[in-house]
Amino acid sequence: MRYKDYYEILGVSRDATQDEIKRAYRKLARQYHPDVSKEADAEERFKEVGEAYEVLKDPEKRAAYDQLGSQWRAGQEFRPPPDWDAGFEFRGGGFTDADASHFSDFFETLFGAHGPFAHAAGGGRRGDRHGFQARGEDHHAKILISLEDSYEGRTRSVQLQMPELDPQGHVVLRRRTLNVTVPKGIIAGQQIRLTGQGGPGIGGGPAGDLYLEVEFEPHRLFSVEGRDVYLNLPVTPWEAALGAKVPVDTLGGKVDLKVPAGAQSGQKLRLRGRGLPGKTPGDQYVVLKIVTPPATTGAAREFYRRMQKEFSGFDPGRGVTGR
Amino acid sequence: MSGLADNGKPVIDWLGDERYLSLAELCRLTRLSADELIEMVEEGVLDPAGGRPCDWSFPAPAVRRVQVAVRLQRDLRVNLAGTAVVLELLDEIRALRSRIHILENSD
Repeated sequence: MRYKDYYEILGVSRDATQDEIKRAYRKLARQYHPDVSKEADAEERFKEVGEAYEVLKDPEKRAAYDQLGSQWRAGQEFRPPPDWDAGFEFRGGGFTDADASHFSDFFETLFGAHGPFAHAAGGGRRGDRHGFQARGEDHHAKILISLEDSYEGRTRSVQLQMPELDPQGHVVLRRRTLNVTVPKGIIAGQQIRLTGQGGPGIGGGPAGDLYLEVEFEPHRLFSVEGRDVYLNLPVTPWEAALGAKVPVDTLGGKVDLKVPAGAQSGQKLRLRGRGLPGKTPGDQYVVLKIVTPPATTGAAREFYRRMQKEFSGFDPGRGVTGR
Repeated sequence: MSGLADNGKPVIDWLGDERYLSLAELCRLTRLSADELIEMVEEGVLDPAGGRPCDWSFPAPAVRRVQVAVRLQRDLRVNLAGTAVVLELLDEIRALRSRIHILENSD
């Protein structure tokens, strides 16, 4: 088990006032809230900050934690000294309505159901109620899928880790693999609900549901906006000027795209209905990017000079460059 | 209740934008009361089609919207009016991020 430096996590000094701790927590909670933050480790950080605040906001738990001493460093291998909690009195029930099963082993050992403050802890409450029946908790997770998974409605194997309390009240990480058929045409930010795959029911109540929120993996070729798919297509100046038929990738395979004569760089050409499927399927937009051949040989340079003469009146930068 | 179909795969309910939910269904999925959801509609967090609550029809992504609203209120102590603003800004940020990604890829 690794020592956790709750002060470092909240970015406050060990002699911070309760107000300073509260302010630091609120700022970090806003910064790392998984619904708001885009940082990859937002959820982990949010939980860590919540755990730190759970201890430091409570003067009694904070005093007990401080008593471990300041010689510990974050991440250092940690065993609580015997009788480390001696002499501290805790108010029963004054603990937390937070779900302690999401907290670390470190927290669990000190403040969890079998820790010295079990009577005050949130863990282990569930089995205590006789004759009580309730539906299990709903669980939430994000999954990354490919655009092709959505386009084709593929079955994906999803690995999930869920913190759970075992019968002794210890936090255990339960790993499981679910085979999920991705609905055809699902888009980023949408959810699928797996009925009865959430937390177990209490007292024989039904299990909760598992909500999986979908995000797309970055794609080698395509970007996506809603159901519309975007592809950048480099073309030669003569294809753009004269028009051409160019094979392009779509999610459904290659199709021939007609580049109209006189096309310009940045021009968007639409392939109707070639985006993600749906009642109104998305479109694929192909954005042209004209690439000029390098003038690395004398002949090439000569050719560009001839073009310069041939198009002497052509000045696309007029009015912008001050020419 | 295992939630598994005969083929051993979980029963999947796609909360996509082509599916609609009544107020009662939204209550069941979000575990909120009708009063709480009506309050969310009044504050502009949700925008159902239909006149009276019994006629309301919510696009299924409303489930996630309610879940996020509940988390923002619980975790960050945002009030309901603030939640409506945050949700609108989050929608806008998502759209802008997609746009930026498309533009960056075209460089």
